[in-house]
Amino acid sequence: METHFLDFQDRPIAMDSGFLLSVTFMMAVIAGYLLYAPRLYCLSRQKRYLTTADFIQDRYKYRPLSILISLIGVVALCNFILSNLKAIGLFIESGSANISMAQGVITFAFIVVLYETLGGMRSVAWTDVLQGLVLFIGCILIFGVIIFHLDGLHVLSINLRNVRPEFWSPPTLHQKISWLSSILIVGFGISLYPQAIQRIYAAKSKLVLKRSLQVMVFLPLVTTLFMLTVGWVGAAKIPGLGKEASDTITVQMLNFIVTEVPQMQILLVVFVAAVFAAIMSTVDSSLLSISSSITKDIYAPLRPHSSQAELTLFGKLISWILMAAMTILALITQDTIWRLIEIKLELLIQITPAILLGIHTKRVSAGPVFAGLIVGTIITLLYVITIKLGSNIPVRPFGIHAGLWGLLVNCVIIGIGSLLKKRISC
Amino acid sequence: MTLVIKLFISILGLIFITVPWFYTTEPNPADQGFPNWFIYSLLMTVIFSIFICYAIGRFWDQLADENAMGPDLNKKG
Repeated sequence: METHFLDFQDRPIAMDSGFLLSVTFMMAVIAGYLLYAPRLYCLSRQKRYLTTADFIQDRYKYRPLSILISLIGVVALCNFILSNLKAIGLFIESGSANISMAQGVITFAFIVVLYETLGGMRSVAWTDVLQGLVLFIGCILIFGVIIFHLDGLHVLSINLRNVRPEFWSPPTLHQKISWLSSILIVGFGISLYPQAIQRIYAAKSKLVLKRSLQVMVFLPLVTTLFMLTVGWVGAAKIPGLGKEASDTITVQMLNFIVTEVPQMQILLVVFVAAVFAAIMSTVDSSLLSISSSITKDIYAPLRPHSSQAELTLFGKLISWILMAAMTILALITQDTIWRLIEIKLELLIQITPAILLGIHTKRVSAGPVFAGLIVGTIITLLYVITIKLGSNIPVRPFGIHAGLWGLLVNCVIIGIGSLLKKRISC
Repeated sequence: MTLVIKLFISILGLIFITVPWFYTTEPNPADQGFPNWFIYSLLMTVIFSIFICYAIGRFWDQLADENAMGPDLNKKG
């Protein structure tokens, strides 16, 4: 669970002071957990859930709804793997003169899918623990070097004012609305990742889960914020960075640190290991979650007499096929990593009402939730596809993500549908 | 109003105030250090994290309570 919370540290840093919002949205993820994890954990202990769809099926008793939620989770996780493969490809390409992005992505994908196939959940859990520790130490070391060996925070802010006078300008109203929209979509979206829900099911005890969330809420202050500072130092040191080049700012900053302080070469090794570790942790748990969702929620109900061995084999086969497809897509997609993350979360946030209402009230039934989910998802997908096809409409209408507009319609349909159902039954 | 709705509204409210809505003027070039809007947002984010940490400790058991869900209106009889 700790590496899930460090996921954003491996992302190349956006070269914008407004990206401070990423500290808030990582905390908002824990706020999202607070709203559903206590009850869901209790239920999972009583009813032995394995996937998100297990809870949905148990609560709403409507197979099309649980399959749809499972499919949305799979699509979101595929997108998650895609953005991570692209990130690791860019990281390898910018950090090495001899390895191309394609070679890096293919080799990385092969290693992850191989150890996930051989080891399963236990290997993923153990690598998560080790990778989380390495990443945490890497973040703190890099921040320490910047503070004590380079300029320090005060000089950083002055340099930024000189090099990029616009950097510290307050956000415009449109940017502030987008800021709020991003916190909501990331906070609630990430807290509903299928693998995040599975980790709540798998928590050792209530106390462990509660304590880990209480610690995790403060981690963005020493991980996300530290790495943002590294990005801001980069903005001051490397003037003229474009949007695309900013995707590789972390590596450029590491090279810069090593040039300035040669004895810090070991730091480069630690941080590269940390980045690989974080992305491996993210990809393997996503892959495992996808294969369990497809096998248990979609394949098993279609073939109820399948043996455990057959289900396991099918799950592993799915992992290899999806990993191959995502590797190809990672090499051809033109979207930035941040945009890929946004699209995934815009889809995933559509399942929020089904989970939250399902946990906290018995007054909502499957029909309105299913209708709301379908309409919300279609609105979001249509918008994303329209933009992909080259339309000139804004990526975020009025500064608000298409996914939030979809969620609004989704909630309205659930509200009206539930009211109508109540009146009919009266 | 149930506890979860109160918490949901509190969370939305706190998230809302982490955005530096009231800062519109460009920082003075003579100023040094981080701008006020940046410090405000960071401070509000820290307050938000403290609230969430407190709420997890204080309300976890109440949120886990099945009786807080209210009656099942879909049940007949």
